[in-house]
Amino acid sequence: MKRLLALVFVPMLAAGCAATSMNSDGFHSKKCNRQVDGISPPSPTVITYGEKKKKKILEVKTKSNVKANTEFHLKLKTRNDSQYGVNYDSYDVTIKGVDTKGSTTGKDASWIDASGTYTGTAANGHILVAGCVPKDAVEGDFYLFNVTVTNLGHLDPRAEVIN
Amino acid sequence: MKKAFLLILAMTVLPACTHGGKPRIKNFDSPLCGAVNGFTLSYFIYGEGKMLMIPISRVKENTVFVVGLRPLDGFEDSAVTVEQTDGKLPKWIPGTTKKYSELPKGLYPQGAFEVGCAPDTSEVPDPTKFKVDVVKSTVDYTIRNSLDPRAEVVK
Repeated sequence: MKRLLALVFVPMLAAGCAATSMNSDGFHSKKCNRQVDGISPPSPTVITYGEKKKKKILEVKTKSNVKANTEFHLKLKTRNDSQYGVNYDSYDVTIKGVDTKGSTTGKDASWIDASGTYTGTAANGHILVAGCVPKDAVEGDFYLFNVTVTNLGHLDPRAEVIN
Repeated sequence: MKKAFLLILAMTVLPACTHGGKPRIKNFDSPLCGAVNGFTLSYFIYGEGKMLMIPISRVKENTVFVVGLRPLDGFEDSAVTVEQTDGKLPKWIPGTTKKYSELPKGLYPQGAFEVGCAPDTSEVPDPTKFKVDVVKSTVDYTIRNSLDPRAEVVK
């Protein structure tokens, strides 16, 4: 019986490992229409917006660590503790790369371009694929982008390459 | 004796000083608005990737609207501009830029500055949209963050 179980489970485990390693090896990004190496950052940068403790809030981690040739993911998370009954789930969020001409180290961030609204649950948030980090990005490169929540505000965080 | 004095002081001062956008009662000469009978103070908290402010500040008519800056993470020298964006209503929040580091404690608590003179409620029947912009310059780039709260003039 043990042998039978082993016969059934070992190939299944092997298949699972193969699928996982394939995922880390890369996949075809629909967003960028090319093969990428994976997703970064490992835990998506969370954009929190809405109302919390009677205050309007817009919060994004200032620096996201990304890797070259990966999909850059951001997660939308709303706070709906509004005393005026405002539901921020329907608020439009736009992510746009900033032109860093004149900057000493900032790179062209035009590849960062996405928009959407929160559609997930409070627990898992909603993932936005902001774009694909250029293949030739090297450690230390950084990309500035705007996070705009319509009728709420905007923040200027950055993505920094760590290879 | 000292404790009793502090208790009386607290009982006298505290009821007149409310936070979070609620009207304050006081008679004084405002540098921006002249003789007024109060001011409303709303705090704006800001720093690296973070901004917080009350969604609607309720400002009593014919009083001064004051914004109190609360910078985080080395944003003390960042320029903060408060300006009305609502074009449908009379412009009563004209646009003022200040830095926390240049705002000592005086007429208002440290970091607070006047941003508008609230007219009669009849002139601004709806909540007024305004923006709070934060500009921080670094060697390589300039960070521009902003929040879009509102102010409602009340009786």
